Amino acid sequence: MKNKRMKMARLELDMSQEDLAQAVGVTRQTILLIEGGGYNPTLNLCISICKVLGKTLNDLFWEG
Amino acid sequence: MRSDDIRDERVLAVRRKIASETLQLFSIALFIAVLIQNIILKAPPAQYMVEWALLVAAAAYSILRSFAEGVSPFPLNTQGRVIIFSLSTGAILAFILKVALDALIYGPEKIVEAAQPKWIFVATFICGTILSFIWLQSIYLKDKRNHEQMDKDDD
Repeated sequence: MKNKRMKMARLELDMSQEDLAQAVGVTRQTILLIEGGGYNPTLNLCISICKVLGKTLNDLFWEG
Repeated sequence: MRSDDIRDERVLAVRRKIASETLQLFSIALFIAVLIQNIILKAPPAQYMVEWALLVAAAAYSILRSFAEGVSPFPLNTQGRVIIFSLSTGAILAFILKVALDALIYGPEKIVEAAQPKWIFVATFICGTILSFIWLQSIYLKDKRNHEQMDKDDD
């Protein structure tokens, strides 16, 4: 399932996928796959992404 | 000097999977090579002894490391799997013994001309199967009891 909330949060900060990838220490392809729903990240990576984007796990990853 | 390489978890996972699959394919190829040389080509044991020793060492390392890490090397979640793994262990033990006896009796350089007495391998297969079944069954039952106890505690 696509993660539109993560993409929106990234765009709100005017960050490219490359910027976010560098900030959390992964490749751009990994960010692309997470946003596209093609890769299930570990909890550690989710937390790193949340910290960089200033959001909580609930905001970005919880499917209610 | 600090490495600037990105340790991407997805890339690492894919690399580990590729390495694991390569090792599995290599082990299977090595096993088939030893089987063909021993059974079909009747080659002298010296010709395939290194492959055989590497296979035995790799299997021993895998099993011992799994136990040391507290992980079962066999997915023993059904009774059927216990029986299949017991039969496989018996067959592998019989083959290991055959290669070892070929080298001992005929010497490492001589070509194996006659077949070994079959009862030795049948006996090894049966004993190996029974012993591994007792061992694996005890692990399976202990694991099952633990899960039942955990379910009870959860209720």
